[in-house]
Amino acid sequence: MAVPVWNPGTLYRPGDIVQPITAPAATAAQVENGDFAAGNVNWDFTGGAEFVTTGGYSGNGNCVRMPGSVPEGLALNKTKLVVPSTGSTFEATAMIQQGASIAGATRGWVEVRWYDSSDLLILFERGNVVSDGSGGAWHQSKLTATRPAGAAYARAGIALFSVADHTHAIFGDNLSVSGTFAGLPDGLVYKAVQPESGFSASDEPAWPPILGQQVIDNDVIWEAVASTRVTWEASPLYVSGSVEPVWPTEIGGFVRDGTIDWKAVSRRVEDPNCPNSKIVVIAASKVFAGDDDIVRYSATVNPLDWTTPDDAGYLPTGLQNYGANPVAAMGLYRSNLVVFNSEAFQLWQVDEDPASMALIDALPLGSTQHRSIAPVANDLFFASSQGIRSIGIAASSTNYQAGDVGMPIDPLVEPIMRLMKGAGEQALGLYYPSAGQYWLCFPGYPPAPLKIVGDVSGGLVGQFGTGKYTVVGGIKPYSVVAVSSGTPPPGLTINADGTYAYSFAEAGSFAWEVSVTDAQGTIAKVADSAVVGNEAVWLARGPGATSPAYLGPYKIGTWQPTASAGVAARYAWAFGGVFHLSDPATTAYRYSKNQGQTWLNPGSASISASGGRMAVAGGYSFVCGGVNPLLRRANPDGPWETPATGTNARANDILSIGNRLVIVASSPRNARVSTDFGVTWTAGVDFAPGSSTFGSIRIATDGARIAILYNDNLTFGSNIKYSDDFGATWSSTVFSFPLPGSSNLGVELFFDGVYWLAFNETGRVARSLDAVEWQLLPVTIGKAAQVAAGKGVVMAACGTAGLYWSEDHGWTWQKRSVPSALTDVTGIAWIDPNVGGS
Amino acid sequence: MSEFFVYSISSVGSVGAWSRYVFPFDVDDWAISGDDLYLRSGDDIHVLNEDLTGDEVSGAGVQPFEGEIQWPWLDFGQPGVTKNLFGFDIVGEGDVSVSFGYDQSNGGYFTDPYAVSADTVPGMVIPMPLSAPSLSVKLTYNGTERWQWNAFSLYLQDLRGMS
Repeated sequence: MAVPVWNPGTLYRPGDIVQPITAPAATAAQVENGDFAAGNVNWDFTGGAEFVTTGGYSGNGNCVRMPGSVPEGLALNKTKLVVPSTGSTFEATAMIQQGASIAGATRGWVEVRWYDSSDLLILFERGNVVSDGSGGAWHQSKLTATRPAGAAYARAGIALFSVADHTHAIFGDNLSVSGTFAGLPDGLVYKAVQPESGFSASDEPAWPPILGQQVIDNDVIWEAVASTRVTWEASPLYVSGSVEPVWPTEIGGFVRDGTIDWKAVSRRVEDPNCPNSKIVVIAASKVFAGDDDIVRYSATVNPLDWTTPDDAGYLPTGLQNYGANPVAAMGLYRSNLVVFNSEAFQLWQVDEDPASMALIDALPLGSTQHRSIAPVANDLFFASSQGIRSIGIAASSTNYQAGDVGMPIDPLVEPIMRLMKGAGEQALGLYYPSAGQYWLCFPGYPPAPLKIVGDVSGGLVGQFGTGKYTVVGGIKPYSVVAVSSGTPPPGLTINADGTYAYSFAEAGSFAWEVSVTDAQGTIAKVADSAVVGNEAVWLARGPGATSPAYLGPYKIGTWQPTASAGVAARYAWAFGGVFHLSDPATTAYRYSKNQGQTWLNPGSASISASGGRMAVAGGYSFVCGGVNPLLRRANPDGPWETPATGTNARANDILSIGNRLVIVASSPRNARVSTDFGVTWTAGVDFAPGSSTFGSIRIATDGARIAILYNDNLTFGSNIKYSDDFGATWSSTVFSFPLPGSSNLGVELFFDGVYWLAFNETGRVARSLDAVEWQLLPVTIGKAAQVAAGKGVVMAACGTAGLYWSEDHGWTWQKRSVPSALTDVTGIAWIDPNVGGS
Repeated sequence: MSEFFVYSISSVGSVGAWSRYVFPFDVDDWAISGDDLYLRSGDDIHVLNEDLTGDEVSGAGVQPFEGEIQWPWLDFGQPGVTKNLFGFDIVGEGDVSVSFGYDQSNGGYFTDPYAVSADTVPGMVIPMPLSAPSLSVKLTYNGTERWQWNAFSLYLQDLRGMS
């Protein structure tokens, strides 16, 4: 219970407890003005003790003095000192000076006086007596005071004494205390202790800080008391984790989330007798659901229970009059259940007690439109195949009768009903009480014009995919979707529902028309066309100065050699229709603007070991120089130049994201970014700790995230990390190839448009959708030297192991035949067939 | 689009009347909350508002819709005998276009719609010389303002039998 706050002008009964608005100041931990520095303040003088302004301990200033021949005097400081409990102690000290007194004639000591809560003195204690200080020497009197039982507070003071016949003055100064003082007591509240009820004053009283002390507040006398209370502290037994768990999708599955175990439960009614039908009515505290030739109902007020005997059960509608057809619709009429099938309705009395349910009547007026049923005034309206009909009670009798309220609009409703029946759709009925209207809605009628849309995009021979011609509008059911004229490309299969699959088998231009017919006989057509090509889209390369590069079609067809390269470049690149050949370790470089018919040399490229990787951006071609600086040349025919020198321009791999270039190297072991096409570089943090790396370092990007593959020369681990800030910072290692070893290093990293793929020396492939979660695939190909992708195919040039390709993002690979002269495939590039040479 | 048939119960003698509406959007479902009727159409929720004269269509704003009242072909006396119509009066709210069907065969031929004010009773009869054995009156309200029809008078004179 919270203690109420004191209020002004309020009637308080004896025993009422309040807490102050303004809490009293905490009790002192030091006597106030113990050295008289503030003058005659906060002191009580008794006996011969008096305040003087000279002769003090400090600087001959203020102090207490007692003239001679006065037997005794006391300067008692007014500060109330509260110690926590009985038996607690504190120290008090004071300085005494006997002036010209002879030894023993005057005396002085520090004194502590203990008072109870009524301010009555109950005990005093003395410190050591200073009785010999002739010559004006100051001596200290010291006391360890112990709180006696019943004491509320103590006051400290300086006591002085003189024999009767001695006339010399004695001085005291510098009263001080030390120890542990109580501050405000725990749970300090105030209890009304006056004998009768009374009103509080208009202003808050000065609340005493000491337990047991009282203060008068108009009619009320408040006494400081300690409230005893129990403090409850709640702490959670179950705390969810910092991230959302991966929820199980199986009913009964568990997932751990912090200290909580979550169990997946079904939100469906799991009772096997629940028919899970859409023909549902709630009546008599039960749920009724049509179930073919019966109507099941749940237990009373428990829709989860469809089994308990004598509570849940079913109405045997199929065993009654007009029961031959399955239940198709249900409604309520005057608290009775109306069960429709296509031929008639049965009227059932329903009740919480199954024993009280009974068939009342049946009439041959059917409906299959469950959602059209609505009570209107004294009737039940519903849509039947003839139009809108109703059930009512015959005038002046209690016989049920069928009404033909909808007859005026039958010619309008009937054709719609027929069309909706064919389409398997339902009319919606509703009573709109505030307008007094029954609304019957035929959604989607009149229908939008029948339309078929779809487009088989062109492609390359061997390319496969799926899609759909979508039919909208019109009246269902639709006919099969089929080609009505023209010639679709060989390898295209169109299914009856409009879905299609293709695996182009022949090159050529194709045009055809697909059509569909709806239930009303309306025909919709869509003209489609596709160009299937089989031009060269791959540029493959092996070593050898006199060897050509090879141009290959997508999947089907043979490789054609280009002109002899004239240089021993191993990598192949195609950017914007221009072919490039570069080498990872030598200055070999050529380019071609005419699909390899002639190779051009822009001059010597200073490429050293672990260089040769290329990128284009901003009208330049870039090639990594290995330990030499990155090279660039203006497209199409500019000479090589080094826009920047120094270690920051060293690159083992390069990529471009828009106009931003990112390079990485093993030394310095970081990524660097340039937004001025290689003139200046900004370095990020090291991607690998401590020791240097070796082997290939590869980076890849999806246009936003960058992943890096590097080999650690201490552990031989092939590690992958990623960065979302262009290499300024890197994640911790997210994947390492198994079996680290000097012959099992990572060699290539690639993003194929959907998946990230990583390759190592022994032909293992790992892939990831986000560059964070990696999966080692159960395949082995050769040691990839270069990887390229286009139109759903990933192609890996695996040196002497040959050329491998995958149509499922690296999950499975097949070997592709290459020209017999190409025994070592070290370069592969995708040639965008839509981009010509320049 | 969705087609609605609405049965309105009149307080006079509990007589009901049907009207037909074509909404310019599909209605997936509906519900009544308080006194209002709400319709769901895809991701849109529509509420019926009796103060508005048009339908709000997602992305196309409020679109007024035409209201049409047409009587069946009425003989106005002895069937088959040509009647001579010389004028009419209408009582209602909102400007209206009036058209008369004069040939009930083959879907009927109608006169060009003729716009008149909402209430034509004060003043002269609206002249409409027309002869036909049966007539179908068609009133069209263009939907740009609230409209209501109360009464319609035809001023006819029978011609000689078999004429």
